[in-house]
Amino acid sequence: MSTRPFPKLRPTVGDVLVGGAVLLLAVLCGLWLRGGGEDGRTLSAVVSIDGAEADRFLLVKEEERIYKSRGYTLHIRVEKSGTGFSVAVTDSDCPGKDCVHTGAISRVGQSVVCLPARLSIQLTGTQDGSVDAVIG
Amino acid sequence: MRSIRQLTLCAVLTAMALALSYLENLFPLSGAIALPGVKIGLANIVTVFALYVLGPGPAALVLTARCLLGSLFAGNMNALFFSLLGGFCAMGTMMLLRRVRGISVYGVSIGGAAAHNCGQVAAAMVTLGNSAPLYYLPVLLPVGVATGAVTGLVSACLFQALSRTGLHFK
Repeated sequence: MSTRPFPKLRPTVGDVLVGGAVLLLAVLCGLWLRGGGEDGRTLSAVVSIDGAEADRFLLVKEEERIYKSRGYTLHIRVEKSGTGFSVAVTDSDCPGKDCVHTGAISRVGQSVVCLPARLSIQLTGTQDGSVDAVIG
Repeated sequence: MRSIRQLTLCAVLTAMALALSYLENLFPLSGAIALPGVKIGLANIVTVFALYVLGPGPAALVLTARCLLGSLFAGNMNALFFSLLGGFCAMGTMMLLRRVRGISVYGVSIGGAAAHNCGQVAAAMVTLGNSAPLYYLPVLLPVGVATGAVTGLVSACLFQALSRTGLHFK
C-alpha cells in the first residue's frame, strides 16, 4: 500500500520560499490595487447591489445613508477623517456583520463588502467638478 | 475489505472535518482581523491528512462531503459555492506542492491556505459581480501564511504521532 516515503515534517527552505512567494504576491496585489486609481481631490463612493451600480456619491459632507438589499438593511455613514472623509457600514442586520467589522475606509481602491446583502462599497478617485451625476 | 476500510476512514474524516469547522466557528478570528472569510482553517488539517494517507481521489470526496454537509447543517446553501471553490483551490495547490522536493507539510499547508483565500475571494467576486473583494486579498494572503503555518504544525504533530502506528502514505 505504501508507495511514498514518510512526508517531511520539519520546516525547510522550500517552505520559507512558499511563504515568501505568498507574501510577495500580497505586496504586489496591494501595490496594484493602490495604483489602480489616481487620488483625486475628492473621493467618490460607488455602491453596488447584485453586481449593478446602485448609487454613487461624493464624500464631501458628513451624512448617513440607508440601503436595503435581499431583506437586509445597512446603515452607511460618511465621517470627517483627518483632512478627508471616510465611509463605514455602522449597522447591519446581516449574519456575521463582517461589513460592520471591516470599519471605515478612506483611500482609493478600498472597499467594504457585505456578501449576504450582495452589496459592496468601493472608493474611487474623482477630480473636482468632473462628476457626471450625484444620486441620493 | 480494503475499500470498506477506506470508506469508513473517509466517513470518519468527513465527520472530523465538520466538527473542526464547527469548533473554529466558536472562536472567530474576525474579532482580531475584521475581514470576511478569515479563519484558522482547522478543517484543512483533515484535507492534508486525507491527501497524504488516502490520495487525491478520496481526499476530494471527503472535501466535497464536508462542504455539502457543512452548508446544509448551517442552513446556508450560498456558502457551498464559497467552500467548494476555496476547498478545491487549496487541494489542487497542495497536490502540486506535495510533489515538489524540499517542501514539507508546512509549505504544503501554507500554499493550501493561501489558495483557499484566493478561491474564496474569486467566489465573492463572482457572487458580487465586481472586483471589490479583491481589496481583501493583500491582507488575506499574509493571514493565510500564518494560519497555514499553524495547520502545518498540527499536521506535522499528527503525522509524527501516527508514525508509530504503521501508517502508510499514498
